[in-house]
Amino acid sequence: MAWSDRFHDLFAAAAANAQRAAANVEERFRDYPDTVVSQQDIKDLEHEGDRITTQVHQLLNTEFDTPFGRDDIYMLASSLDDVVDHIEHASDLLGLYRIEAPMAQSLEQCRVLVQATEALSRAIQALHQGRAVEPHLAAVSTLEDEGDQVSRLAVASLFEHEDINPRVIIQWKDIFEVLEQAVDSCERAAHLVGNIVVKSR
Amino acid sequence: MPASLAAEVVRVVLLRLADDLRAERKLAVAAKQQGWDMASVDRPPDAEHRVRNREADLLVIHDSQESLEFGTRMRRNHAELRLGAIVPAHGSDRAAVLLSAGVDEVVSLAMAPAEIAVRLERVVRQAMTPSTASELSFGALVVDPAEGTVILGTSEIPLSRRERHIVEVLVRAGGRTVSRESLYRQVWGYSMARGDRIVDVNVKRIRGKLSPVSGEIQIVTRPGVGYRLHAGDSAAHPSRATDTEEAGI
Repeated sequence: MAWSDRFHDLFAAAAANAQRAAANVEERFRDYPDTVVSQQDIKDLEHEGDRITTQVHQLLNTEFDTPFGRDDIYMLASSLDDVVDHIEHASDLLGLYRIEAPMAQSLEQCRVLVQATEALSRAIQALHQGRAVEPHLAAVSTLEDEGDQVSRLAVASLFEHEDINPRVIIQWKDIFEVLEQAVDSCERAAHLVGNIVVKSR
Repeated sequence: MPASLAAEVVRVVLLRLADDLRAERKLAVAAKQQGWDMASVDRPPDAEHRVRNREADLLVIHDSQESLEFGTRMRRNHAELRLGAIVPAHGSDRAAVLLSAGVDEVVSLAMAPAEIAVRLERVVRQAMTPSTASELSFGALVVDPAEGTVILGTSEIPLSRRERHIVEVLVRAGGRTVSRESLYRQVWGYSMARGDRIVDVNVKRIRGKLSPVSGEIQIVTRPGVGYRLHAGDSAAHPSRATDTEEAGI
């Protein structure tokens, strides 16, 4: 199945923007607070995501013929937008909570997020080109499981000792939850791509 | 004693035992006589919070196993703190046991408040005496906790409060390895969560600030364990340092 090029271009741009956001946030977390990636850099990518989503909605309003269901187009655009929104939120928490240094598990979670956005990009590309998407969807699903595990173990480590600073627990529990939401959004988008393929058969 | 030191207000924290107000009353009278700034707390974490924030010169405990373990740990981890203990009666064997365990002064409820005040204040004032008593050194690296300075050779190193505290802990260890967990507990006052990189990030910053003037002083990493200070010829290859002794602080 081939899409119309205009919808494909927008979805490819949204997926690429999500990849860029994930890569930037990974770098920001890695070097924080001595990072060259500012919160404004991440915010700019979030704005770009919003702009692309708006363009998808406008195209939906003007195109009578769509390559697949309007609801599917709308939800896929929203899921891709959610990925970047959650990335921006996690990044913002670093500054809001005045994090002194990243936890090792947060760097691991960022790596998972980068790989998930890369697999999602490949899935959207494969969908446009009529190639098999299943390997890429499976990759996203595996990464989502891995992200869950990283997050669970990280939060568990915050409760290992009775006298860990309560502020640290609050800060990092929030950050891990938001990073997990970003990875979950990748999986939702991948799931939607899978639904699109099934419906088109 | 210099007039400036005599003018410094002694800050006393009493770790109360439940249902025993006698010690609190006696200390309160002594505090009023001496012009101490005294606080009474019910729980060790509250006392530890004050000690970690350097709001206590003297910690006074009752004679209980839990209080003694807590008090001696505070004393060990905070060299500027002095530890006093209150026993019910004077001349008992308990005073000898407490002093051997690391308590600096033992007073009894049988003493007059004035005697309690003088005995406890004496150990605090001795700790406050300036010059070499308050300074710590490791080679050319000198830390003055009271002044809040870290000097290497002739250069003062501009460190944040946390960074200064880390350097202080390493200097006190005298070249022995201090684990990350121990560094975290002594500087931040809590247990370290697994994966927390605060210690590593701060050590990296300290190294950056020391490097222009470090000369022979290096912070050496012991992989998987922690850090130690090193001075001498092998400072050029700190990663190959083979010290295996841990400070266990």
